[in-house]
Amino acid sequence: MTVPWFEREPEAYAEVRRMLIERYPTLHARKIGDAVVVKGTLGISHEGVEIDRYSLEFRLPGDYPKSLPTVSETAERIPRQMDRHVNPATGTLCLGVVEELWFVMNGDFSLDRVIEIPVRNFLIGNSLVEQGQEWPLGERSHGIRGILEFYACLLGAKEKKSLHRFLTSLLRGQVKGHWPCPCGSGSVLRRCHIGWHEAA
Amino acid sequence: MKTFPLELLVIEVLGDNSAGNLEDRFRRVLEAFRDDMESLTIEDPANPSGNDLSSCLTDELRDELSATARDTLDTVDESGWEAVLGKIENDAKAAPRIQVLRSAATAAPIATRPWSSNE
Repeated sequence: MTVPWFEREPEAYAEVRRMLIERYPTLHARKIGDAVVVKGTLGISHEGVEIDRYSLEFRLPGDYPKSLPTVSETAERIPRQMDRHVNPATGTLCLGVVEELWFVMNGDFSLDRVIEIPVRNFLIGNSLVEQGQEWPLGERSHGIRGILEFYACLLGAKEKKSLHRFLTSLLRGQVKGHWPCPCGSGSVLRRCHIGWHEAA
Repeated sequence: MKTFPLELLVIEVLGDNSAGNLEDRFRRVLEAFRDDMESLTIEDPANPSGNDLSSCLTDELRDELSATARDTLDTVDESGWEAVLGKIENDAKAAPRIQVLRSAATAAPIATRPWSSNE
């Protein structure tokens, strides 16, 4: 049986509790079985003024902080609809394409970083959507299309075909320098985005 | 926790002593949750003689309420009520809500976009 992270590293759990008391005093961590659940309200502040407040529940994963915690809004304020980026079955918020979040957060899903980056962005965006506005930082398409959008954006790829080929080959470790660059420049990979070739 | 049992708990705590201002009473509720959670019971006001609602309060929920009240009181004692309830905004000086939210969104140090895992 796997020992939960908070028993393996009690100091890490104590640090989460300290951080919450210091920075988010209305969120409270508790051990429930093999999981750590953080519940309460989160105030969203801007320029020193609270502009909104949400009731939330975070579930920290078994390999915390390597994987993204799940986050749910608990006051039934946000409709459980995919178009509102809430999983209808579980009620969890779809904060972003997981690979994209991992990339922009350097693989560190510590609770304070998750609160300050994707959760804060999501909640401010939701507050604007409630006012009839668009998502201020944009939104990804549902499902696999959203994942491909992220990779296309990351690689600067203009052609779907070359993006698919690049990603498929990347998984197999077969990327060749003489292939057309997925950015669509018309040049070969090794003479264009050489970094991608070397990373592959 | 459902709000109905919570309301009954507050009534139970303040039933014998509702003196003081709002802060005094709120603090008394939090202190009771922190110190006496195990002994608090609640009853359905529609059927006070035969419907003990204490079963709504599991040991886990009592622990959670007690721990939350303790953390909240510690924060209030150290940093005041604003640390718990947020800064009071002066409505007269407040910018339009959409403008404030847009400003907050553009101040994000790292942009992230919501997604949906299902098609």
